[in-house]
Amino acid sequence: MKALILLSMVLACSCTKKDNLGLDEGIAKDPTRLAKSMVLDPVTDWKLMFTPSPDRVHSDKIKSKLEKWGKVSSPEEAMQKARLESAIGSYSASEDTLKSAVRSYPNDLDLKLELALVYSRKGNAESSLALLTEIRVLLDEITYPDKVFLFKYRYCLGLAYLDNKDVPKGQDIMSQLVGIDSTFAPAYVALALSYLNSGKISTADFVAKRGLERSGENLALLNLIGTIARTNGKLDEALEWYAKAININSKFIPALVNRAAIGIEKGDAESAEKDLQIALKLDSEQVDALNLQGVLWIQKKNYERARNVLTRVIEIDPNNVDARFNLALTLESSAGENAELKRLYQEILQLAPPSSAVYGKADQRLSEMRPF
Amino acid sequence: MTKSPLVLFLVLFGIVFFQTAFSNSAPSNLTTSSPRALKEYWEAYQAFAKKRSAQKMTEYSESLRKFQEEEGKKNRIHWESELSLLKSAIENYKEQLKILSSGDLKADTLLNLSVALNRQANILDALGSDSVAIRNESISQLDEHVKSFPDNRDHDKALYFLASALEIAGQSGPSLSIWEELSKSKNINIYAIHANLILGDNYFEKDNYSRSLSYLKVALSKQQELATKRFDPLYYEIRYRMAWAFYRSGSLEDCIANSVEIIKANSSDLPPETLEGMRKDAINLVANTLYEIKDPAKIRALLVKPDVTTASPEILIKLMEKLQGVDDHNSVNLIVSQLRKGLALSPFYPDILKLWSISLGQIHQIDQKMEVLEDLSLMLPKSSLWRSRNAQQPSIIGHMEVVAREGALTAATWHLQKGMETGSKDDFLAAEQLFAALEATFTSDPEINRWKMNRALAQVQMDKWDEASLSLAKLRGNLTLSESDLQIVAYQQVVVAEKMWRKSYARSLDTDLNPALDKETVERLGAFDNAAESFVAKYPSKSESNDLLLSVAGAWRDHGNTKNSTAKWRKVLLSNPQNSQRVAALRGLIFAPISENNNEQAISTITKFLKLEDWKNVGMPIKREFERTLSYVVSKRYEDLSKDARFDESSDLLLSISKNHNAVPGSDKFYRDGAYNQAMAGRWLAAEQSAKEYLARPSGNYQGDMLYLEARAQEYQLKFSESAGSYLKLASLYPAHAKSSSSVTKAIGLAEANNNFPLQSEALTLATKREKRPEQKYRLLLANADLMLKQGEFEKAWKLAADAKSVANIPIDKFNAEILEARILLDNQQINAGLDRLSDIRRRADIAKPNLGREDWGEVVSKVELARAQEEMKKFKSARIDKEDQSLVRSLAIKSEIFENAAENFSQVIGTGSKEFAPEARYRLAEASGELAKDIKKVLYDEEKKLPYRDQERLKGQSERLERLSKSLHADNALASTRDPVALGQNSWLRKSWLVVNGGKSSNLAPSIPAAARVELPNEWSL
Repeated sequence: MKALILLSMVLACSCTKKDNLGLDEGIAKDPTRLAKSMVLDPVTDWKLMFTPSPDRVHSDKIKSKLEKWGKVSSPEEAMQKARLESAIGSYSASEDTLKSAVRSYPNDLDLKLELALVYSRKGNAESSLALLTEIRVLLDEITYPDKVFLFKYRYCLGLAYLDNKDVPKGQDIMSQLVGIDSTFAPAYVALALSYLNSGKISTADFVAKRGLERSGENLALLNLIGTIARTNGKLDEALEWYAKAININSKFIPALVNRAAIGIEKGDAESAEKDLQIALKLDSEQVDALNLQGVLWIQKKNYERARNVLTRVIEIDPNNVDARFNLALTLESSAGENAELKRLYQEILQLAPPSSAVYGKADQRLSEMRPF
Repeated sequence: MTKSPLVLFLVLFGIVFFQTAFSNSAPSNLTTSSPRALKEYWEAYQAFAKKRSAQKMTEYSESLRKFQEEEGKKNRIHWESELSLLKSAIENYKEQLKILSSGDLKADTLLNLSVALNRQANILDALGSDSVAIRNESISQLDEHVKSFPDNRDHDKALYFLASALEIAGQSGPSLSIWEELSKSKNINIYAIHANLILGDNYFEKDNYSRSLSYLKVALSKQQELATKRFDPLYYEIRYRMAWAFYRSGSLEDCIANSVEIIKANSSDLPPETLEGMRKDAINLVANTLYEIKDPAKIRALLVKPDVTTASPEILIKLMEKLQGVDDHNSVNLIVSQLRKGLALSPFYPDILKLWSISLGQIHQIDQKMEVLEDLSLMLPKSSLWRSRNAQQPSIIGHMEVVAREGALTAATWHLQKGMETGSKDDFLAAEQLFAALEATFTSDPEINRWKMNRALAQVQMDKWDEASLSLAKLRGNLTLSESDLQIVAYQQVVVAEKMWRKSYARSLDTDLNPALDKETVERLGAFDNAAESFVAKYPSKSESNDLLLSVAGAWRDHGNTKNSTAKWRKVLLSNPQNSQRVAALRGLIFAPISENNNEQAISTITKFLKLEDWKNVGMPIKREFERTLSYVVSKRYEDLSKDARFDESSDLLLSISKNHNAVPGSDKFYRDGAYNQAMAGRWLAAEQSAKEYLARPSGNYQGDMLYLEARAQEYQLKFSESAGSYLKLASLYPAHAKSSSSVTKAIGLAEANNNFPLQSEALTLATKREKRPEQKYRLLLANADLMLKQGEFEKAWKLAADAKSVANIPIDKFNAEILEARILLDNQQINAGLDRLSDIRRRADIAKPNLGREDWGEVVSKVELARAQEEMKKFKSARIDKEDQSLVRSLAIKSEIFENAAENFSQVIGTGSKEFAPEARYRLAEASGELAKDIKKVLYDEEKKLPYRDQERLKGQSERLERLSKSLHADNALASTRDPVALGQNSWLRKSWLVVNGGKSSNLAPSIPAAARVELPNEWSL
């Protein structure tokens, strides 16, 4: 607490009221500004902000607890409830809880930031960014903002920019966070993904590997590096990276899922299925695992089961373009459902970035569908 | 108003004379005090002559008149009764004369009458009455006696009276004649002697010394004949007059001889006071004469004569005084140094030594002066020989003590002072002994405490610690000691304590003992500390207090006890010290942590002082000294921190010092190292900010280094574009920097990573400029040209490609540069020129095939044909199938023809067997085949009814052939990838075909296999 107060005092002394936080416009003009104020001390243990998703046992406990939850009587209680809802993927419920709490406690920054996070989870980058801007206005009124809050706020803002197609701003913020705390792996992940999504595979690889060097054997980064290798066609190398991650944590679902994806690509359906089963056992609603399960059904020409699985994915994650594309493929195989096919492809064009492969495929397929 | 001295003489002594005469007896005591009176008169006269002041004479006359009045009053009653008797006697004498006609009786009566008249006249004078007639009557009676009775036994006596009376009556001329007459008298009597004396005086007065001497010699001769004993007072009076006459006439030897005669006189010859007076005058006369002679040898010869020795010291003193009066100190020294031994026991010896010391001082022979004063001090002890020899003369003893005290004190003080200046132990010893002698002699002297203190000081300086300590302790307990002396004593006690500690400390070191562990030395230091603190407590505001504290602090420091020394230094700082003391304390406080290798504390201390001290008062040189020290300790601290890899602390330290103390030597380097340490600590953002701040300065020795740090920090933070810019700036501005070369490469890579093509191009240009190796230069130029081409900067691209061609050393490189030129032409819509260029390249490549080798030839051909195919594919993509009846088949035929052309180009590439380009050609041709097949199918579907059956069949067949071709080409690629899995990973065209083949459909219908890689969102749930 003492250190916190000290830092806050230093922050207050080193900044003017108007630009002490360096948000939005200020950041656009001088992206390093906030970082200047935060450079004074390495950030707190950021890992505390990233609790792993609950396993099935915990999910059940959470659900049970939520069912019994009565009326929320304080912002802290609302926060706890919303976080539990988010943890089990009940983003809408979490959104409702938080919105209700924000109405009751309009100046509570933590609630608003949590709500912005829920928007991000739901893929609603615009709402997230709008809320983050609101938070900035409130922060302007605070003389000594909480250091941990500021750090988290900056990270969320960076993610919102990246999601909201303002990649340079998002990358700037992530770089600042890396400058403040070079072990902050989530920033490397976000940054590398932003390069990967814009086709800069080698840059993405570079960033992710730097992150790995600096933050230790971070599972997300190991998985990402594998994904980059996979994107670069280096499937065996990718497998090695995934294996590293799984060796560290055999329950690390993303690596299991990605290894399964390569299995599918290489025609090794058996091993892919094995990995997917493990993943789905850990989290039956893991959308990537479900999606791949759908692909496997497609390859086995069991379109019905594929369609069921993929429909479930879309229910969980309405923004999942891969699931929509694969669902479209199941419909193509059975023919006669042109209207739904067109809708799916059109939705993909709305959701996916134009540079992405799935966007190109959908676009092409849509133009091909016309004669039929 | 002026009167001759003789008249004065007679006025003064006339009464006595006539009283005697009246009694008709010889004037035996005529001039008991006359020589002295005469001398005094002479001296007064000389003084008068010098001053020539009438006022003085008036005062003298007035004094005389008053004297007469006073005397007259006293004697008036007596005189009036006497006058009545005289009148009666005169009447009787006159009556007798009337009776007597001649004979001795008449002569006697005349003489008595004249004496009585003269007496009457004198009394009348004394009573202020007119006496002229009476006096004249007396003269007339005497004159008658002289003339009437020349053979009378009292003739000389009558002459004597007559001359005297005339003189008193103011008739000097007749009087002198009478004296002359009397002087020639053949008779041996006192009147003739006196007449000669008076005439001698008379001529002496007229500066006729030879004539004066002739009368005096007659007087001496007659006195010798008349005298019943050799040495009667008259004898000395005559000698005295002669001495002076000789002196005035320049006959110095005769003067001395006559003076010596007087000096030889003893108490039986003259009354004591007369003797003393005359002796003194004689001594003065001799001294004056010796002063005139100025011959040390003669002087010495005289003064050692047995007759003179008794008066030698006095003569010598008078002579010394005279010589000193004219600043002839060398003569004093010369004379005294020869005579001193013989005078050592003389009562006057103290004065001689005193005068001698004065002269020695005047001629700057200080050492000898002190020796003389020390000799003087030797008389002080109770047992001294001088004292015992002169024991009977308490006044002499008392005088000696006064003179010797002064001399001893002067010498003691001088020795002490000299000792303090030179450290001479001999001087301290002399001082101590002299003060001891003073203490022993003058036990109740008001200065005795000061002497004791000085003696203690001398003891201190002679390392007689125990004695000094004892002396000082006694003094400290002395209640009579003044406050100021008490302070001095207290101070000296500290000094002694310090000296004792130092001695013990040195002994410890000499015996290889650690002073801090040596019991005695530690005790000594404790005593020193206590003494100093005692002084400081009693005199806190004294400047010496701070000096003592500094000394004690230094001692504790030497013992390695920095805690105690630091406490003392701090105390000094709080005691309003002088500048020098302040500086010493500051130095101590800085030194303490340095000596303990506590550089962190030293830095803290120095920086605090640098910030808080008033350097205008303390002095800028001291500030610079502290800054140099700070630089040193910061360097040492930095070394220590570096060894332990404590980069955070070192960076904070170095930057803080550099920013807050920029005048510290090495401040610039500290900043650089501090910023680099931030980076080493992983504080890259801070390092970047530090670098930026440094680079914003107008100047600095490490601009290059800081640019590199900025670039590295930005790179670390994954700010690729900024980092690339910084690297490029470093490479551009500091080509000699060690990292310049690698920075260019970094700038190229980072700019490329961030799609910053202008920056990438700039970096490539710089790299090209620096590159000496032709092969590398070629590749850089080509890469830059390609970059410009992508940017649509055709002119730049063209120039770069041309440059690349000019530096290309091998054919393949030249061909590649030319192919790039052709592509530039094509992209710049100079299609024909581009295609022509490609044709020309192809033709020349075929010609050069043997030299190129199959692989290089294949690469050239592939690139040329792919470029040509790409042009054809542009046409193919833009070719539309016109659905109008008239042009449907034709437009299809046109597109098919374009396809054929492209297929020809692709086939050429495939034909080269290039592993790199053939898969691309196959894939592209397969895709084109598939597309044309779809186009044909679409036409058949849409326009089937419009086409003749033959055309429908032909088109169906064409469509099927194209589909088979497409599948076949994809299959070839897929097969190639199966044969060579590595190639599959490396060549995207093979992979694409593989996916098409394995998907069973067109690539568009392959499932989308997602990657489970997402950003991480904060997740803070808890049960």
